[in-house]
Amino acid sequence: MNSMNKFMLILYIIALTCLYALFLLAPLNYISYNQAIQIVNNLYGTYKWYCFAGAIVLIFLNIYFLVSFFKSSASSKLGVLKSMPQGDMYISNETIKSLVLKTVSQTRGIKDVKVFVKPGKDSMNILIKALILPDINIPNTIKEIQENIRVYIENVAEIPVGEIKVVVEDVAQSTRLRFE
Amino acid sequence: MDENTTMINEVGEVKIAPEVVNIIASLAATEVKGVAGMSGGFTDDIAEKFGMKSSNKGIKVQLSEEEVAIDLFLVLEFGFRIPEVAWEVQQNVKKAVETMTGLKVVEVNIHVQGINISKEQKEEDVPKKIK
Repeated sequence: MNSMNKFMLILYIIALTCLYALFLLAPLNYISYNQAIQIVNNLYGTYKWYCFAGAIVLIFLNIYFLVSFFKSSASSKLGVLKSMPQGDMYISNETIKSLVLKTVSQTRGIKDVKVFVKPGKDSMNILIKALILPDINIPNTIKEIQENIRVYIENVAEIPVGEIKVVVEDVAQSTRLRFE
Repeated sequence: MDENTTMINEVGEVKIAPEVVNIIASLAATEVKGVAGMSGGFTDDIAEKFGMKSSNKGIKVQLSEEEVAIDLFLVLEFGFRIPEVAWEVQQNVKKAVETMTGLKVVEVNIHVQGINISKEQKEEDVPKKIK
């Protein structure tokens, strides 16, 4: 979810919370019957166009979220296409991510791995963000990860791998549980 | 969904519904070693949650006069070579559909949508708990 979506969602939640608060306060008599009547009268009178505009904004937000919900599943359609004698073979980016994730998880000393896949001109570029455990040689571990991924992806999926960038975001706290 | 395919012979005509090709292709694809299952869309997933099995989950069939093109959306098992599994699926589906329906399969397109990492494999990654 990008920052724009987050902002819209916050607006939407605030608007909905205000509406629910009204329904919540009415039975508890925090809003008297007369006040409620006054609010309803305002909806038909002074503030009717404000309410109208507010409702339109909320409906558009609803539609926007509905569309983005279905759009997110379309993002999994990106991938690599290979032609074979009997037809085409298409490997989605999600598949490549799963393979990379599995390969990385087999390496010791790496935690909280996030994988980003970007198709290049004639190869696949991979970006990995992860935390590393203390007392681990970072350059050696990264080199090992890069080699493992390249060999595995090229062997299993037959996709040429271009750049493999590994970003070590932080050092993970290694907690050791002690049972007595 | 496309219309039924009609084949006329001297005795009468044989109509084959696209659902028939769907089921044959689905069974032929899932019996190949390395295929974890078919990958359905949003509606298929919801239908499955309610206990309804969709015959065309993860399959798109384009039927013409005597030819058929099939698109399969698959989830594969971890540890298998993708091109090999894809090739085997193509062969198996083509053979099954051609043998059973008599239609000519012009192409079998494979869409690998994901990898299934089984629980056993996941547990291997988790370090053993201290006793």
